[in-house]
Amino acid sequence: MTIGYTAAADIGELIDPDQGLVSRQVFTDPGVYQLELARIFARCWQFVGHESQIPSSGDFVSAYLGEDPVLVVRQDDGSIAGFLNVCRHRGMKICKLDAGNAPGFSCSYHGWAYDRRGKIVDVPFQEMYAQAPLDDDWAAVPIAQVQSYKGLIFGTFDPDAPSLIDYLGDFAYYLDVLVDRREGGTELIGGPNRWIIEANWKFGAENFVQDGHHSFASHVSALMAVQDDDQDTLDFPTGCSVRPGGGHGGVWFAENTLALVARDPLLLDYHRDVVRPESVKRLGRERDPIHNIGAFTVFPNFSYLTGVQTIRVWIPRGPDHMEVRAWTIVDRDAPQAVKDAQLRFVRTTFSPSGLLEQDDGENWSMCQDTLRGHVSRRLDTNVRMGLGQPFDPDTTRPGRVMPGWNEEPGRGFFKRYGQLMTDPTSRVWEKEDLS
Amino acid sequence: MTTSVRTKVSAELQHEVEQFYYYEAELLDGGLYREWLDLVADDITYEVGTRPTVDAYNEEAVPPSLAFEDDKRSLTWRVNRCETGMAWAEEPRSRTRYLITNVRITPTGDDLAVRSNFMVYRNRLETTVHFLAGERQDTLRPAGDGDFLIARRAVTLDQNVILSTNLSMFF
Repeated sequence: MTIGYTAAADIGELIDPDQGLVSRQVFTDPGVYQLELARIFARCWQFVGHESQIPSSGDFVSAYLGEDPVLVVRQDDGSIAGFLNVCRHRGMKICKLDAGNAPGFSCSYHGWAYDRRGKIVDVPFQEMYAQAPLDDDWAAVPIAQVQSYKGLIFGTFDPDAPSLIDYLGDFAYYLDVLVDRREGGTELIGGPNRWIIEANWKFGAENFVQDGHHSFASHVSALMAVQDDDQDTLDFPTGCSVRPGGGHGGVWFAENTLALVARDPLLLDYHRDVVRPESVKRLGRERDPIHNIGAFTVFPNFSYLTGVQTIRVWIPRGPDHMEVRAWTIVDRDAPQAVKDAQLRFVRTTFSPSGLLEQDDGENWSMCQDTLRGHVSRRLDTNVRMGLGQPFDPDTTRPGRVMPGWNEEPGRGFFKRYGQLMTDPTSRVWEKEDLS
Repeated sequence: MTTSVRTKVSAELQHEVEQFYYYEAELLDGGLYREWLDLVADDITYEVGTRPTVDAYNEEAVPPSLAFEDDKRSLTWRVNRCETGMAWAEEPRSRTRYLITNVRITPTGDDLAVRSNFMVYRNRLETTVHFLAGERQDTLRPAGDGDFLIARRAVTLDQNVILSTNLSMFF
């Protein structure tokens, strides 16, 4: 195997997810990265926005599927369309803005104009295309499928990918704790926090799929900082994970930890007196502990924290950089003062300046930095916590539920990762990864 | 964006305000955050945001993207954090250099509305470097003897996607 530019045929050798062994090569190798763009980001469902961002016809947001820029546009009939933000003529972006409202999009290079669906509506000197007509084949490339799940908009370039609800599978049960905890659903408030971390996108995705236990070492300073006195905050609660299949997963604290980081009574009272009782009525008591604060990833790169209510994508930016785009998600029916408090809380804790999140950037970028070394790069990353430990035999929650801190969801994440990376056919959508 | 107003204040007031900012920058460069907190009014509103890429006629297309939305209490948490010895983003501490320029003062009643430009150079561990430039819009409250309290600070970072692994510093 060529070190530093792995060929597609060799990818399978880098991952042994059942044993929790993943070569660190997959976090840095340019060959692996290019294959990820093709086999993961050009095929899997990825988050591109929230319906509340584009309420009116002509509203649009820019987003990315992998490194491919896309536009997500509210149509005149209320539906949502998405297409590649790339002019079919020379490849210029047809829209340079983060968001806005437009009747259509016009390329600034030669003036090719597209409507809200991405169809070509005008091209200068059109008579010279009489023998080479610019028919619908030359429309902006549509995202093959755009679907919403309770306000969250996802897209995939793979026409053969299963529907979004089938893709989520058993994970929808857990996602509902974020987006269906109250009547009225959710909305995004505030603009996104966007920043570059000098680390591979999988550091973010893997962390949120399973890693509650890093808080003990990584984030203890934040827990100490927000306490009003010198009380001992080191009595670290235990957790519980789920591996529901599909590479998705998550983990939640077994005790209510929101009060350890949130100090605003308005927010804590709302969470205790409104959110949790209503969520129990809607979703059942079994899902109530997930509000304690949980971390989850929808494969490959959409993550969120329940309780905290931050959602984000880890956009790949080359093998050794990612762009984080993070928003605050609130209950649409919450009082404005609570929404404002939630936004302030997220900005203070989980943002580039976040009392907790600052340290993740430091740790991940240094994990990436050591990948420059030949010996360091060839090591396996250890995803073995909880290996062989029993699953909860009594749970009625879907998926494999494992009590205690563990890295079982990460093994599921990398199992799915390996399947997608080694199988370019649509058969990959039929595989179950819990075998 | 703010509209430009050319204001003329006395050389003495200009000098006092600039000296205040140089002192503040020295505290931040030195990691003397507890002392820096003493310059902050108890009722401060403190915000740091980035700048969206939007049409000039449709700046509301993206709501404000704030990375800090603080009051004195949460600023104090940040300082507490730095003093735990386990705030890994700044442990060991980065080397920083705060440059404050273009100080424009507009008296507003008892307070001063002051705009200034800044460049923060951060050099971390071995070779990590981040540059952060932007504008502060402050309300300074005279505290006698040429001293001031920062009653409001709204910082605009001149970036869309923040080109820094984190914002573990103050602005």
